[in-house]
Amino acid sequence: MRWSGWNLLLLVPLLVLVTPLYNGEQPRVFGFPLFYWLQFLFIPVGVVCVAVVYRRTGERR
Amino acid sequence: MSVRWTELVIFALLFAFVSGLGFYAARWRRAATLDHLDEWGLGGRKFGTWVTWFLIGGDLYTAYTFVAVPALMFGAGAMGFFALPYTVLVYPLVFLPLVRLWSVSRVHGYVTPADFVQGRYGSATLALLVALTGIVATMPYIALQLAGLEAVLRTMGLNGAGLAGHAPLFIAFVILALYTYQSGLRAPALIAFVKDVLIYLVIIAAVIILPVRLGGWGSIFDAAAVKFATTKTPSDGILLGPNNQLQYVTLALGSALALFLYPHALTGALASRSRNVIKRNMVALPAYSLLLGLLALLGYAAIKAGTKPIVNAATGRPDSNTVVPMLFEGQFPDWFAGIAFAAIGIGALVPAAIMSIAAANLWTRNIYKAYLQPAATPEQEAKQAKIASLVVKFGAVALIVLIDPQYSIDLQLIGGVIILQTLPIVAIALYTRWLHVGGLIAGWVAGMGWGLSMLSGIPNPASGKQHFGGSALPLDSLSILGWHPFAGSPMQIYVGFVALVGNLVAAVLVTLLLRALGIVNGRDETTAADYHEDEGSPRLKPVASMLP
Repeated sequence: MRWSGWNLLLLVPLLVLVTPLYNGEQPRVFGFPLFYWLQFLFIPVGVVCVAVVYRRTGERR
Repeated sequence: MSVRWTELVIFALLFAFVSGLGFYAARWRRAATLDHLDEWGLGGRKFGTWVTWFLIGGDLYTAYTFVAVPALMFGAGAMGFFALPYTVLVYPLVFLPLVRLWSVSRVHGYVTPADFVQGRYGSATLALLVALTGIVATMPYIALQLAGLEAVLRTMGLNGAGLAGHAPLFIAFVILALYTYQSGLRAPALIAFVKDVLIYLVIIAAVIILPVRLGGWGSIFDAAAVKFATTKTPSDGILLGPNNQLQYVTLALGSALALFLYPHALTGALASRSRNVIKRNMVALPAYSLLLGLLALLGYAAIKAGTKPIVNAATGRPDSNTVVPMLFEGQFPDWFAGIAFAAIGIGALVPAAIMSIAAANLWTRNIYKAYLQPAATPEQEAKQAKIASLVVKFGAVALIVLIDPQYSIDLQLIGGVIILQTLPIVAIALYTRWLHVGGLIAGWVAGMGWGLSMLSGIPNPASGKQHFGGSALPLDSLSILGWHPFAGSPMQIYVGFVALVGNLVAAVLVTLLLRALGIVNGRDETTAADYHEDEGSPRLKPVASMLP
């Protein structure tokens, strides 16, 4: 295994650093302001990105 | 305040149970010998996906996080939520470098990050810098676990004044020290399982029951918004303000970059059996992030519930770390509060054990063996590490007992800033040796010096302190050798991040100079293939238990 283009997916979670995306109150979901639920949503985004890279770059022995 | 017996009895029973597990752990997956760092310090380097998940989870999501993050939300609002983006970022960031480090460490038998630096650059000085930085950054981290444990003990009524007030903490720590001494990394690995089951149970119950009792999440957020609107501090609130967004993202990113530079985090990773174990864990560990985010919001639940922190009898000031324990005390039956306290208390023991083992490994490999006793046998190394783990733990107890807990939080703040300064030496070196040994040393000195001087210049108006009052630097006071590029800006930025930039600039400049002068850049004992070897490869160095 060496470099793979799939690795670029690992950069997607960096979007969580863009505060204007989520620094607001509305819309609320289950009472959670946007600021909170959208950042929670980044957890599965991160998991999916890492999981895809793991699957796609698996080392064959 | 009187002692809360129901809680205390449940706490003591669960504590006794995990202590028993800790001593039993020496016989778990027994090896031919525990007298080798591979065994005592890395659990035989054979942990699979599940054990590693509990071990690293227990290692990174500590008692301190469980009490301090909600306490920060309780006090400052949205800023405290940085812990969530931080744990979102960390796994994608370390996914690739961590497996490289695992492979090269297995080929050459490295136990610590400083071992790797020694092998990569052939420089004992550079390895010493990494080892010292790791030990200094880890000590206050252990002390903070104690602060978390003590917050729980004081909530249960063991809130004595003076030295005697610390006695329960001391007893808990002697027991921890003894079973770590005997069982090494196997003890926290086994206990982490119990810790996590308890924590998940408590948090899931809390996030389901508390909103129902307190009128729903919407009203909890509203109550927090009302509270922050009435305070005089302009920067708090349930959303970020115009001036702390840069601090929020640089703190999240800086913390994510720093996490796996801490020796205890690497210990967990190096103890795993294969590259795939690490990779699967990078996918599975964010389950804890969900937990952490929900836990953080308990800080707001405490606002809605009108929770008041306990006054620490040893310092005479309210201890904000008691907010979450007090919330449980006020909202749940005694027996459930007892389980919650045990979960937090045991949550302190697991990371404290791993951290002391990691610091002991550094001392033994990169100071004792490198400088004091180069001819040490593996048995002598293991003996030395066991003793060092005791010294480290009692050093941390002394930190808590002798100085105000408030200062241990400052030390932790400094710890995060300084451990980040080893990023070029450890993480960049995993990919390239372009940076020169001399450049790395210069960068380390520059980053340390600048970082510490910036920290010492930050006051904290709330506690009336002049120095080391926080890690948020106003851009206005950012000075590059006397030049103020952002004069007048009220925006804030994380000190560790600024210092790391300075570190990298210095490292690059000195590297260019030394390369121009043609000065030799140490000897590299690793090869490109070393960074890709996996379980089953004949090139891996056999671990102690497999030796004849």
